[in-house]
Amino acid sequence: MWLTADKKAFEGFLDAASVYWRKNLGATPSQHYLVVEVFHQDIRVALRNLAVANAIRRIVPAQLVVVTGVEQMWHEALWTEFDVQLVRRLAEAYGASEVIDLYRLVEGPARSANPSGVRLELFGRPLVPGPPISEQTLAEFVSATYCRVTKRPRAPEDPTADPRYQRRQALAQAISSAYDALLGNGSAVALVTSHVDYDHWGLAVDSARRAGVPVVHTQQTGCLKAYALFPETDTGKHTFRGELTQQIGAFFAERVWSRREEVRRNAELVAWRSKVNLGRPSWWRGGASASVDINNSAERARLRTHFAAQLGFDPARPVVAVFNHAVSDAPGTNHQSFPTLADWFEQTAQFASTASQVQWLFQDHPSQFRYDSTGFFESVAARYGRHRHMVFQPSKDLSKNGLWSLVDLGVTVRGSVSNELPAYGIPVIQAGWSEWSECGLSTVVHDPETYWKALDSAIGALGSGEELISAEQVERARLWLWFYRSATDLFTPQVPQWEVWPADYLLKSVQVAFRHIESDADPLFEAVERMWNRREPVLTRTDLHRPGGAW
Amino acid sequence: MTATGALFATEFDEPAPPRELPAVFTSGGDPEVLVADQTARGAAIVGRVQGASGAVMLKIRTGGRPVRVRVNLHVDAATQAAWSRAVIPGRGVRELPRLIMVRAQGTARAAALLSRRRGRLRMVEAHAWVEFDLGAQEMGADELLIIELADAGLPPWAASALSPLAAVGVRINRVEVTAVEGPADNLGGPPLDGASAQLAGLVSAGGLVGARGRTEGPARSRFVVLNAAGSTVRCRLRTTVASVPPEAFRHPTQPWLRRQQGQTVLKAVRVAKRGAGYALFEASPFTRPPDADRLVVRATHLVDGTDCPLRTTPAGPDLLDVLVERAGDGPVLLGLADPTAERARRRVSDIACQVVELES
Repeated sequence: MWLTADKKAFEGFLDAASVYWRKNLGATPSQHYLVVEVFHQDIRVALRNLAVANAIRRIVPAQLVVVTGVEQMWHEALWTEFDVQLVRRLAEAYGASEVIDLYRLVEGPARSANPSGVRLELFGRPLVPGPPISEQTLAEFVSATYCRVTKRPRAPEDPTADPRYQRRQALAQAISSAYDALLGNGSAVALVTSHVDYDHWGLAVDSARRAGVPVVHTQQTGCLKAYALFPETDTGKHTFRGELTQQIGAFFAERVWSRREEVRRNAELVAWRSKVNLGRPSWWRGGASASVDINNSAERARLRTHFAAQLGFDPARPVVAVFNHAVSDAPGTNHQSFPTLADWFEQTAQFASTASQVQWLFQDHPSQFRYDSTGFFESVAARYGRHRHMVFQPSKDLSKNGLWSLVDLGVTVRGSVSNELPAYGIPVIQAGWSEWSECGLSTVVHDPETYWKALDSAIGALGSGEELISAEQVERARLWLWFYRSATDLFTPQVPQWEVWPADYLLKSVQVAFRHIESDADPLFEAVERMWNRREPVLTRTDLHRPGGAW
Repeated sequence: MTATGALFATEFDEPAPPRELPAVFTSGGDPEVLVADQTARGAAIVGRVQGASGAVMLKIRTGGRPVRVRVNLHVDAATQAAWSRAVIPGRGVRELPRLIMVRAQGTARAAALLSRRRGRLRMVEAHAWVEFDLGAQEMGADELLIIELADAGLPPWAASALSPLAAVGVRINRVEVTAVEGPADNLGGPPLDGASAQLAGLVSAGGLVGARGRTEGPARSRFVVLNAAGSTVRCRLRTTVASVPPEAFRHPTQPWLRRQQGQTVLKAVRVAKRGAGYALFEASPFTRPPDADRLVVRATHLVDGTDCPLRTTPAGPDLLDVLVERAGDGPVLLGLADPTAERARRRVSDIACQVVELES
């Protein structure tokens, strides 16, 4: 684990945590267990997972099993330091009875002729694996992981030629069978995970779903945010995120949209506050270039003239902004209209080259360097460099004020701009699903054909000055901001806000919570219990009971 | 076009009434400073630019009158720290003069050349004023004035001697907007001396010094920006030498150097190095002013990038009269070079000039 904290502070924190959980959970002689992963080096991610896990263990008596580990390729792509020993100590302070070093466990089998032959023992008894993963699903996970760790937008034509691909494939087989053993034997009560993609996270989610184990997915933003997929509500038709998209959409319609009168003012306040840092939840943009100060059309028009001059645009003609995603970020994690994010971007650029009645601004993802080593964006930019109505540039070259004064239509697959722009009256087309895509704030298309049609008609409407976004969509978008930033952001002293950092401050703050705050009615326990008992897809700050229903 | 922007408002936005003329903006927190783009708002100043370019949008009621805008720019130690964070200069990179273009309503209006003087121990902060007039039509019915600080397109002959990303960290101390009464310019007026010309924003030769930014201070660089209106501008320059700028400030990367004690040590080292550099300059044989007739003078229009024809007449052993002709209004960058002596003196001293007199 990467932790630049003072050693003494960390020891004090561990001590406080272990006493707190020993007294609050007590001994759990149960044969059942709950699986938590700690594969991310940031302690804030681990704290969220462990807090939710222990809150569930208060409802369902179970032992705590932590899965962790470190691996070379991931280390190069993502981590700077990762210390399994630190994870072990943290896990034990939170009451873990077993800490499994996954990559050490699968290393032998992955190098052998039979990668699936992983033997796993827990509490002294061997685990019997459940049914294995389908070949096709496994291949998808291998490909996605390979693209991510090698930072490329799509897998090459013959990926098996690359030894790194073969290595990932062997590892994935071994990891999947380990997870089948761990989660598929009937003793696991839940899986708590910070990520749901790639091999060491995604395969656990897949094993859990096949075995009918509830999956709780914590989020890396805000205070404590989590989504959950329960076997009772899992249709099995979509990916994990696809299922959540549907459930969140239904939840939003039933619990939030119906309360719109009641929470309108709160939503307005969140919308107002969100102007200051619209980079959230993307934590890469902050400071003076992250705020939007525009309040009305006149101000926007004045700024637009200014920024259009910088980019060589005509302020009187519409501007369509296309937001390139981090190209190797979780390929296939949710429904996409195009096979890959790169296909979508390339084909959109090609479409743009012929649609010169509007001006096109192609924005690259600010963290692209972490996700692409092939110069994908630059290569597309070079192809269309001679078109004067198309501008390609890194996102941070333009401030939020600049961007928001120029954009008349946003185009993305699942980027967070698709919930931010509509909240301020700018329409968005989404060529894929995201957490909010079923909440009715953007135009969501499901396949290329409807995508081109939607683009065509939007461009036509922009030309003729028609309004592309309805008042209802704006209201829904603001309600979503409220839902995302407030209603589903649980504050508990055990999990300080993401911004409580550096590590020393964070640890001190949690240590104070453990030492000095009595645990009765801690919102964490209440909220997790509510989500768990009612099988709700999302952790909520307050009881958003069904209108008219008992809950 | 659709009326996008109408829905940017929320119930919690408070409408800002425009400020009446004469309007003086001295705080970024004022409600009439509607937008601070890539600029951190200040409490006692308008703001500090945080990106490659920065802008503020002010709400002013001009009542259809032409207005005169004066902007006070300022470079201090924090400017250099911010610049260093953005540029990450390598070892040996010097703190070069900053040429900053000031745009208003999307059009380049004036430029400023700001350079901190290397004193014996400390760096002397530099202030610059720019001034320009806006026609009655340029402020629209929206009552919005947008002022932007950005890099100027550098001519190739000056590019290596001026700072890249010049606007990063620069302070906008204050903005004054007044109604223009009577004729809009002072063409054909009596010649001005250097300090008053810089205070009036007609030239910029490194900026003014002193707590209130009113005095000229010694010469710092071999560049001058001419903002004065008119198809010909005559200026008399006094040529001299100045010590080369010190190494640009670099943020420490070692954790122990980032701590308080480390910072103190680093600061002492910086001061010592600066003092040593200055002493070296004073002791060196390169403190004699260059021969005015050996100097090469060039001028480039900063808006259209064309070279301007000019005539130079030596007016004394260290005085040089330069007459610049230009096709259109807009700032002109004037630079001196001493090709014969450049190599010998480069590490210690550099030629510099000061405006003695300006006539347009």
